[in-house]
Amino acid sequence: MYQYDNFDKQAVRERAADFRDQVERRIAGKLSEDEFKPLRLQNGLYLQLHAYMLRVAIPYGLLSAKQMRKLAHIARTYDKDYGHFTTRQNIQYNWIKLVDAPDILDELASVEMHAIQTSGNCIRNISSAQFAGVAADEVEDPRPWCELIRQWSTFHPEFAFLPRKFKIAVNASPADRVGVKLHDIGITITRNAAGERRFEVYAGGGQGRTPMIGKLMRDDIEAHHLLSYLEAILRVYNRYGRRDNKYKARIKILVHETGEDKFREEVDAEWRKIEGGPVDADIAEFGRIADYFTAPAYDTEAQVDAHKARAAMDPAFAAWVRHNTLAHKVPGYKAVTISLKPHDGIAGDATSDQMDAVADLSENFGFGEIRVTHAQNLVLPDVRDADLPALYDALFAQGLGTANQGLLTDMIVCPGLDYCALANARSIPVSQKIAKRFDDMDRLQDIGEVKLKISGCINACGHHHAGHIGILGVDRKGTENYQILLGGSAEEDTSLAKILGRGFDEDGTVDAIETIIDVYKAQRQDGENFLATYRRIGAEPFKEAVYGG
Amino acid sequence: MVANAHQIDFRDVEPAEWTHCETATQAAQTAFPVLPADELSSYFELNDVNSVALGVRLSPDTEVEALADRLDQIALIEVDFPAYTDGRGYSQARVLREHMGFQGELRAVGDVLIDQLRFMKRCGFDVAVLADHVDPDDAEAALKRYGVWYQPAADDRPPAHRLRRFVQNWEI
Amino acid sequence: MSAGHILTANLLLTGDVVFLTPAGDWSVRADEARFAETEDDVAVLKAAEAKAVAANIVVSTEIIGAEKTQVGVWPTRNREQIRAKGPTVHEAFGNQARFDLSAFEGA
Ligand code: SF4
Repeated sequence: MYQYDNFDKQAVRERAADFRDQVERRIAGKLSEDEFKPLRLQNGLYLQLHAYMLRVAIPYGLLSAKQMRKLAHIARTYDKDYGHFTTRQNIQYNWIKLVDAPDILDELASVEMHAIQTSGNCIRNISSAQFAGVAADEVEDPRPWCELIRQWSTFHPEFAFLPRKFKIAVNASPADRVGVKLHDIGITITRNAAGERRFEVYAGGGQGRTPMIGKLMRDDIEAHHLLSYLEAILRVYNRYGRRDNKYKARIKILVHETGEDKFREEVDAEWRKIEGGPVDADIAEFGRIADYFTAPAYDTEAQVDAHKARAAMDPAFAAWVRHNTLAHKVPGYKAVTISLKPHDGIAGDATSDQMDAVADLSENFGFGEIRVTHAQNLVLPDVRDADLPALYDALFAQGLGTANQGLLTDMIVCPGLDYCALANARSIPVSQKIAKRFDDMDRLQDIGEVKLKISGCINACGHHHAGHIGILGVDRKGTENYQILLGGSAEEDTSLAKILGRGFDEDGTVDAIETIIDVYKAQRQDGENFLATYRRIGAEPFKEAVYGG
Repeated sequence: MVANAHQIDFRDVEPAEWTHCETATQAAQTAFPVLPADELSSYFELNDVNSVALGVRLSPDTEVEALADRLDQIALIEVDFPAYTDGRGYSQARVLREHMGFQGELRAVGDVLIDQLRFMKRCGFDVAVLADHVDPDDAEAALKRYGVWYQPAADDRPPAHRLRRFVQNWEI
Repeated sequence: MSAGHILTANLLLTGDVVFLTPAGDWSVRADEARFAETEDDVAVLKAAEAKAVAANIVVSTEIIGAEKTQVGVWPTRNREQIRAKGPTVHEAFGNQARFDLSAFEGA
């Protein structure tokens, strides 16, 4: 993975020192809260329901064992012994004190980490596929490109005060594992007919209160024009994006109101002025960065299917292998998803001890590398088949062995009204009740792949628009109420889920989910997953079953 | 001009006694007027102009491209930040400098606070006029705090990747 | 039971949820909040709010609805009750772990 050189180290140290100064000025009253708030947000510090919350950047979801141990240490020392992994592949701490935040940034800087631009109206953490570099279907490793974009966007002097936040994701395989069309800018790295590298750039996608699918801007961007093209999009957005209404300020609204074609022309006009200029010279960096992402020293003798003997006698282990491991480009290896969705837990939460354990396991059964997924799980990318049984046992002992990756209980759940200052309803309790209702591995496996995503308000941090089943918490005259949506997808067949009908209270929601699953089971044909059945039969049968004829 | 407003000079500029004018006629009788951008065309239609040099004040929605024809007659451009969270002025500055080749003085005014100065400097501003309540010493200190930049912009500061090529075993 | 208002905020330095008390300090306990029934009472809350914000003691202040029952003062809205108690999914955290708030269960 990427290693900081002295420039990078200095940059994060400068940032930490600067934030310390900002906090001191705030406490001394030299900065008002209105003046300070955007500054602290650009350093990932929110004021939430119970305390400050600090969001730490995990660039494109990649962590070393050492960094994971530092995250555990921070949870133990400055928080309440746990952290929450987010859908943007970051981690957030829920109980931070303002006075501790500068020290935490120093701690992070010591392991090449930071909280830069994890919030605020600027370019946020670049997200990417959790299996980058190991997936068999990838055209190339997207991470060096993510790092290039990360550096370009860090402290970008022109784009620190955009109309609204700006999220970029990079994918490099035919399977979309990042939600390319649901980002402000989504990038897919491809090969053209001649086998040359090209970037497809989508703009104007997003979730939130007005979900929109990103539009293809160009599919022919060459590597040495990538940064100028991104800069052109950002400049047009910074100049013309709406600033009169917070809810219309995302680039999706600008693209929509300007019109896709006209927006493309405006970007092209800007791009022609800067294409091949100084910003594109940054591409010289690419080779240096890419050298950090060379393949680790894989065991060329790794025995293929060495875990099969255990699987034959242990169905629970076999189920875990089936759901939580992915074929690796190197024979005899698997990429393992560690579920952070135990049925009695909180989606995405991990205790300090669990983080330390995962760090150890990443070294014992891999090359000391860990990934955070947008589905709020962790990944050990390079596990030998022969090590799977021992890894499974170790994970199981830590409460991390749930074999539900991709299944109904592998829900994406935002913090909701238990933590979030913007929430309308709690998300976690309803997720826990659903997990309890379906707490039966045979039943879950029979139901198969379902993406259930829950948000506690219209801001959609829980990606409810993109769930096969989405749940949106609303406030109905002072009580929590949940709307159910069906038919969303954040993958290559991106679609936005549609509201089924009137909402339910918590228990009613759990019942309705069960009814919906029953309809699917009764109607599915030849191995269809939930989404395929929904797309074939439409919403009507579900409506009828849920609301009565 | 607020006489006692503190300003931070990113580069040396010729000092001048600029005066804000609301109308073109008023500006024409002023030695160093600063005129709102939308008064500019009237100003250039006047015959009796006694100004020594001309300054223009932009609002965030001014299309800077509209100044192209007159740019060589403009000595000063003030870019207004009505709220420091409105970042349009950064793009205006870069477009003026990098696309339009504006060589005159570029000045940030309005809600100019400390933690935006480093961005202003990089986007091609010569001068930032601090908001009244801002402590200039704190501003100078904050500005000195940053030495590493990752991307080229309108200043001549080389980004990290360019330095990397020349500096090996670079120590701080 | 009577309806009224209380003043809540977060402490600037720590982020802790606090409530203005009758003595004019800040308590982490909602049931110790100064209860404002009349418009004049609310004016007192507003004055205290402005003063504490200006002194950089608290942030994110809000005058919220509350009720006074035999057991004490308690916020009305679900959101504010969660702030007063702690996350409903983590009984070990927040005031619910520090104090006996059982009198306000289901309040
Ligand atoms: S979706 Fe709403 S409730 Fe959930 S984390 Fe985002 S803002 Fe908070």
